[in-house]
Amino acid sequence: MTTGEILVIAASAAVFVIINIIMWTMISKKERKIRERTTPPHDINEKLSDGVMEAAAVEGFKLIENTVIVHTNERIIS
Amino acid sequence: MKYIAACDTDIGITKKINQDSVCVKTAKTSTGMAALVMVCDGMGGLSRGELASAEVVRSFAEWFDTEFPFELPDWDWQTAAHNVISRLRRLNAMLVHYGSHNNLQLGTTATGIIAVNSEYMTFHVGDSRIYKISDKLSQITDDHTYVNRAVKMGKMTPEEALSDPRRNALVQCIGVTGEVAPEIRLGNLENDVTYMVCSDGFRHVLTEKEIFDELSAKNTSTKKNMQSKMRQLIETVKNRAESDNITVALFRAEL
Repeated sequence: MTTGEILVIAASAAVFVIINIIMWTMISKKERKIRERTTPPHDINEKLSDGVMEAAAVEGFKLIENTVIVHTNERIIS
Repeated sequence: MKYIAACDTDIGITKKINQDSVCVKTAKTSTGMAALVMVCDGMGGLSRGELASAEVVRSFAEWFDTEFPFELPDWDWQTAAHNVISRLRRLNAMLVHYGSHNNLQLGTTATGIIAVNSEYMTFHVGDSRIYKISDKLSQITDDHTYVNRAVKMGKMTPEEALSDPRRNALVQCIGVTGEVAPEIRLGNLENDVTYMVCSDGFRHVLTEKEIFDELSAKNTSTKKNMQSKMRQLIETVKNRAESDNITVALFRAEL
C-alpha cells in the first residue's frame, strides 16, 4: 500500500468520524429538546382563575374531589 | 347522597413515559352531586400520545369546572350527550390538524362517566373500558378494536381474537381518523355498585375474578380503600410483566 493510499484511507476515516460526531450531536440535541418538553412525570393540577371558580360557587357549585393527572406541560390549546 | 371516587396511574415497567391521563372530579351542586371520571390512553405506537391524552382530559376537566356549573340548572341528558359527542369530534379534528402540521401522529382513547345526582352517562372511543361492579363484573363499553368487530361479524372466534396479532389495533380513536363515532350510554346509579374506568394496560393480565374480588363494593367503601386496592392491583399487574402504562379510576354513589 502506497503512502498516498494510506493518506486517502485516513482522510476518509477522519471525514466519517466527523460526520458521525455532527450527526449524533444533532440527534441528541433534538432528543433532549423533546425530553424537556414532555418529561414532567408528576401530577399536574391546573388551577383555574379565581373569577371562574367564584362564579361557579355562586351557582352553588363546589369541587370536592379534584384530580387531573397528565404527563406533559405542552399544550395545543393555549 | 355521596359520591366516592379515586384514581391511580403508573408508568409501568417498560415505557419511558406515561402516555395515559386521568381525571376524577366530584362536586356538590345546588341540586345534589355531580362527577366526571375519565381515562385517556395515549397511543403507545404513536409519537406524542401523552400530549393527545392530556389535551382530551384537560378539555373535559376545564368544561367541568367552567361550563358545567352553568349548564346544570337546565341539565338534559340528550343535550349533554350531543355536547360530549361534539367535544370529542372537535378534539379529534384538532389533534388530526396538529399532527398533520407538525408531521406527528397523535392518538388517544377517551372513556369516561359523567354523573348528575342518581343518573349517569358513559362516553367512549377506543379500547379503554368501563366495568360495572355489582354482584358480578360486567363490561359496559364495547372495545373499538379490529378483532372485536371481527368477532361480532362472526369472522373470528373470541379465542382467536385473544391471540390475533391485530388484537390491539383500534378501529377508532381520537386524533387519527377524520371521523369518530363516540359510544354514549345513559343509566341510573345504584347503591353498592362501583364503576371502574381503566386503560388496557390495567386489565390485560388481570382476570375478571381478580378485579371483582378486589374492587367489589365491600372492598371499596372509602376513598382510602379504593386507593389501596387500586395500588395493590397495579403492583400485581407490574409483577406480571405488563409492558404498557397502567391507569384505573373508581367511582361509586351512595344514594
